[in-house]
Amino acid sequence: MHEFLAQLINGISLGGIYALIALGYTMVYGIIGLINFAHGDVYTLGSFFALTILTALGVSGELHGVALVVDVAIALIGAALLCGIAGVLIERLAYRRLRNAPRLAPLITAIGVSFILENVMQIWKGPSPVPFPAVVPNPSVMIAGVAVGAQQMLVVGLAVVMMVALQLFIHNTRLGRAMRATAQDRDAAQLMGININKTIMLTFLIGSALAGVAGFVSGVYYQSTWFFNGFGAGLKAFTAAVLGGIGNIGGAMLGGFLIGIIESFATWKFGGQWSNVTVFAILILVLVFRPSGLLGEAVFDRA
Amino acid sequence: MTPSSGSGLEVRDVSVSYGGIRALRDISLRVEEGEIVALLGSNGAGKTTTLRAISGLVPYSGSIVFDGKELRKSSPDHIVRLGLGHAPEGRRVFSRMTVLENLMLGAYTVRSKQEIDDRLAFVVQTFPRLEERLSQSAGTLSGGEQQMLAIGRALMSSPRLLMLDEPSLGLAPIIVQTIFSVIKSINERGTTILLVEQNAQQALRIANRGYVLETGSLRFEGTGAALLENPAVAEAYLGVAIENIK
Repeated sequence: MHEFLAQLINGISLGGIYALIALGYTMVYGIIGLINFAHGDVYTLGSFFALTILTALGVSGELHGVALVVDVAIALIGAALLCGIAGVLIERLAYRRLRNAPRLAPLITAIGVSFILENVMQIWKGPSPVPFPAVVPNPSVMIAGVAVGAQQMLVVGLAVVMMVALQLFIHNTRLGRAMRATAQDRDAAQLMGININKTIMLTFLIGSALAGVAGFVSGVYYQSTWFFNGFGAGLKAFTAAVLGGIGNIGGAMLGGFLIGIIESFATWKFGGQWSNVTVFAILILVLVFRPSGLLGEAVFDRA
Repeated sequence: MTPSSGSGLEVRDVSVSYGGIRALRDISLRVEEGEIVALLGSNGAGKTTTLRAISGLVPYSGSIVFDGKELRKSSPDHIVRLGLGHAPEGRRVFSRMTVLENLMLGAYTVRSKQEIDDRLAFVVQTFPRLEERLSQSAGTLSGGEQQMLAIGRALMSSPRLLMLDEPSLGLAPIIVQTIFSVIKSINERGTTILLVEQNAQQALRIANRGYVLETGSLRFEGTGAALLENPAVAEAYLGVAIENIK
């Protein structure tokens, strides 16, 4: 039981990171029907930006008090902002021209952007994993006999706050409504006076910023980053989005946490080499019985 | 609503091609301020394409001028801001959003809260049915209600010219009557109307003037009464249109 709970908490922490990345996949898919394969690399970019900011601030180890709050906030917001800008640039330079092209064209382009980002990051920080300073102290609290670390709480807390904020934004603001309208019917949205270029840009901004938050959080959590991290994490997060029902924001969150938990339990029960097999086997099973994902309704009802 | 600015529309020599196929060939038509103009023709004649060109949703050659401004270089959202409303073919309501959210989207270009409330009051007064369903998701509405929502949504931006694309399509005759009388009353309150219809009889009865399109070209034009009496039009379109209603 004790081990079970410990693995559950591990899984939820991991899942928080997947969920944050999955949101970007699902938002972009929802609005332009593109599986943005470069999104995982934007997440890695987030950890690189955070690392660079922390280094510039002269941070190399654990922080306390005011410095902890201030430096973490600067790194977090900086990484989110820079990733948001990167996402907007990617959309503008690589995808916008292809918006009315056959679907395969932007898909291949996304894979190309992914390679470019990976190569740039490899040149930037080298081919080997890079240590990330353990800025956040990690005292643990006993919950039901299981030690829960402060870092785990930070990961899950930030993920939940971001998701709640996103939901509020999407459902209660004028721009959020415009995003949903554009996702449902682009032409009709334009007839409402919505500038779809700006709306799509905003979607990339938010999705990429969330990936930036995930990148920062994963650096703090794993105390390491690597130019190639985004490939695997991106694939898992994409799986999470599909599992939850791609295009569905609640589904991405649910899928993210589920994938994290499944991966954590699979590693515990069958060993690390089986975790990917288990995750993808479950994805396949879900898709066989519920092709539109767990929360996916008729998402593809574009007229 | 805004008496000082005009709402005249002039379409001059407009052609549209879809992947090498000419959908519209040198169409010219005009809608004067305060008029109801009907644009008629059978399926595939180019009626919807004409409206999509005016709204900036398809590229075209030629010129479209609204209220003295050339629209060709304008994006669709900008054209809405100029005062052109468009209730598109097939209603295209946002089915996974509530009726109220749909109406609020219609007022996307309006910033003043007061004005939005006024428009909303006007729309629910025009379509009392919508008021009962404000919090219901638009996908659950009946066809007639969705059409009311599509028109109401277009009215939320206070358009000076409203384009309606087959508002009677697929509706029960009694609802069709309601829709046409609402169109007439919207016009009487100062909105210029460009009405695309297959239901030619009905449309010509409320229209000042009409145009008949055939395979992408203009065939006939004239006053509503003249077109109703024109034997060639009657044979070719009114008969067909009546068949289509059944």
